[in-house]
Order: sequence, then C-alpha cells, then structure tokens
Amino acid sequence: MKKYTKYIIAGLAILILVIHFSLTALYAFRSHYNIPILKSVVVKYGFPFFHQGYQLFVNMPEYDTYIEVSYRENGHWTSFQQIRNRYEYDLDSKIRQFEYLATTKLNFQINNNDYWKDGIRKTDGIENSNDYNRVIYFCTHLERAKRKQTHSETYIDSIQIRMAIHSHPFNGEQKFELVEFTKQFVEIHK
Amino acid sequence: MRERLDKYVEGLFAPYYSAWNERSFVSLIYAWFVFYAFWNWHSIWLIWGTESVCIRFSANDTQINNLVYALMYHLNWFKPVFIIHIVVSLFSIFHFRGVFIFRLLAWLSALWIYYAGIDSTNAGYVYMTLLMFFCIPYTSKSSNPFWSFIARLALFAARIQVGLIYFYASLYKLTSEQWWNGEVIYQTVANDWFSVEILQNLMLESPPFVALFISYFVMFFQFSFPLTINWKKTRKYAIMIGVSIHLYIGIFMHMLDFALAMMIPYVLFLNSNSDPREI
Repeated sequence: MKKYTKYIIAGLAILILVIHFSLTALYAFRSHYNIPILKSVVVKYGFPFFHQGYQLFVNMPEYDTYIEVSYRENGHWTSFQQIRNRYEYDLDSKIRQFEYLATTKLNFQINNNDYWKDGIRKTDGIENSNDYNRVIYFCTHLERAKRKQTHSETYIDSIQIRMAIHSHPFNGEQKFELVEFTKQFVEIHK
Repeated sequence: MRERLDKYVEGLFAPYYSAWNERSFVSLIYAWFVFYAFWNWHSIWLIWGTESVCIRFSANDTQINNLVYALMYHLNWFKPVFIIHIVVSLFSIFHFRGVFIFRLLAWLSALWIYYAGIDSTNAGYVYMTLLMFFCIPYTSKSSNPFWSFIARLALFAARIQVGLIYFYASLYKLTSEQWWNGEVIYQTVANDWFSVEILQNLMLESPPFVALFISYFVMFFQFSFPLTINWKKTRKYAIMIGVSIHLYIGIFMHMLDFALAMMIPYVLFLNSNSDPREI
C-alpha cells in the first residue's frame, strides 16, 4: 500500500469517527436543544442503530409503587396480593423491570389526576389511559402464563387492581397510600 | 515532525497481533449476550414472543418503525430470531476468518430484540449494542495493512465510546438538582426496588452529608472518567472505583446484567502496552 493511500484511509477514518460521535452526541442530547432540522437529521442517524439514553438514575422518584391485584374466582373475590408475590418473580427479573416501568407511568397518571368529587379521588380518566390498560394486560397475561404452568382452570370473570404507594421524601416522613381502581370484567378460564 | 507523522501512520497499517485483553474484550461483548439470554431465560418468554405479558408498543406507521418493531407486531417471529441471535452471538465470541458475518447478525438481531422489549431492557443492553457495532470488523491478527488498520480503528472507537458513555451520563447528572443536593443517592438506597433492607435502614438513619458525599463522588468519577481511564497513573484507580460501583449495582441494586455490561469494557484498558503502534 502506498504512503499517500495510507494517509487518505487514516484521514477518512478520523473524519468518519468525528461525524459519527458528533451525530450520536447530538442524538443523546436531543431533548436539550430545539433546532428542528438538526434534530431530524440526528434522529435519522441515531435511530435505530445508535440509540442511547442517559436518564437512568438522573432523577429518582421519592416513592415506591406496587401493583396489588384481586380476582373474582368462581364467584368470590380473592384478597389483594402484590403481583411479585403472586407470580413469584425475583427483583432482578426482567418482569420486575417491566412492572417498575408500568407502575411508574401509572403513578404519574395518579399524581396528575385532579379529578376529585365529594372528597373522593375519581379514577375514570386514569382508567381510560394506556398506562392503566398496560397494567391490566400485564396482570391478566401473567395470570394466564401461571395457569399454563399450574394447569389451573379456575374460572375468573373480573379483576381489580390497586396501587400501593410508599413515599419516602428526602426531608420528610414516610407514608403509605392505597389507590383503588374500579372492578373490570375480564375472562380467564384456561 | 513530518517524519514522526509518517512513522505513526505507517505503524497504523503494520501487521496487527492482538493482545490478550483486546481479544478478550471483543469476546466478552458477545459472551454478554449469551449470558443475558440464559440468565433471563424464564422471563424472556414472558417479555417477548407469543406469551408476552407486555402490551404492544404503538409507533407511527412508517416503514422504518414497522421494520424496527417487527418482533412486537409478529410475536411468533421472536422464537426463531432469538435462537439465531444466541447461535450467532456464541460464534462471535471466537476469532476466526469470516466471523464478522456472525457479528453483524448478532448486532442486528440484538437491536431487533431490544426494540421489541424496550420497556424491559436497561442501559447495559444499549451499551453493549453500541460496542458490538465497533467489534464487527475486528480481526485478532492480520498481516494485511488495511485489516490491521481496521482492527486498531475498531478498538480505538470502542475506547472513545466507553469514555463518552461515562461523560454523557455525568453531564445528565450535572443538570439534575437531585444530584447536587444528594437526594438521588438517598432515594436510590431508600427505594425498595433498587436496594436491600439493611442499606435502606442505614440510609434512613444517616446524616444528609453521606448521600451528598457519595453523589459528588459519583459525578466527579463519571465526569473525569475519559481522562482517568486513559492516563496511565490514574487508570488502575479508575478501574477499581468503577468495578466497586458496578459490583454494588449488580449485587444490591439487583441489576447484574447492567453491572457486567459496565465492567466488561474495563478489560480493554487493562494492558496499555499491548501494541505500541496503536492509535
């Protein structure tokens, strides 16, 4: 290989790296600027091959949230149970990660729900949201998966979920709250 | 000056024989995906595929979105894709002629799987796919000037990527008020999901400066990481601190796959004298 060819290849490689890392940097920080043309270029470059996000642990919520579920089995309501206990998955499971995300989103809905009537929190709006329906879908499909394993055929016709919220503010007292949603019709028989 | 530059550029194209840490780094990247598949074996079938418990993600109806999220729209495709992904990742661990085809397939299948389970994967998976990309054309030994150059370039780019991950993460943290007042450390340790009872109790009883100190320490570590990992005098301390932080994350925050993904790239920095001609 001739000397000038090596220079050209090395120069091109440096140029490609500079362009690549500049575009991926602009992609990673796209929420911090508002230049539509630039954004559309970097999104086209970054998605789907070089997607990256750095929001992990940048801000942490001051509460823990859990989904508790109750089913109507053969005409009787079961007592509320945390889904992690009911479906027996560990803290390092990917299911737990999904639950964490789903509960965080649902909790966001609860925090931003200003619909109260006669001193009672109304949850109608939340129950029409994707975030609520994601949780219902999650619980019913976990139940179906469990039944497949245990070969249970107990008839379930309804579900009710509630959110248990454990707040631990930085400079305040811990408190516990339960937000109960209305009963929903679902049919699980296998 | 000109002579030095000539010599330097010439060195980039000289025959390349990898050092143990460079080979291991590339192998471990792909081994991580095999580990990930088996470590999460039980939950994988509940996240992806026909038995998925996750509601389908809705993206705009564009050609690229339909392709990227195809495994979410065609749940029965997941099983064959996942098996191919494990096989090609396994082959990619080894260094042989033509392995780049397996590595390319491993990268593409990893991305496809990622987008179909985006709510259940963490930043460790993304980090590994970014590094995977640079390892595609890597060859562990070559006497061909072009491929020798490409092997060096791949490792150089991976080193930059490793430094930038920490640097970008630190910039995000620097914009967060919770990091400046130490609250994020308190909330992370007090959180039931990312902690254990004994540490939760300790944090709830600790004076605020403990959380504040840890917070500043982590921000400083991440911000200075691109320098400390590349400077010979500080490298071993950067690696020791990084390993300690990620061991804590893996053990006490229940994110073992993330912790391993963050620790694997340190291997690349273990033997700085591996190739005197490296970029």
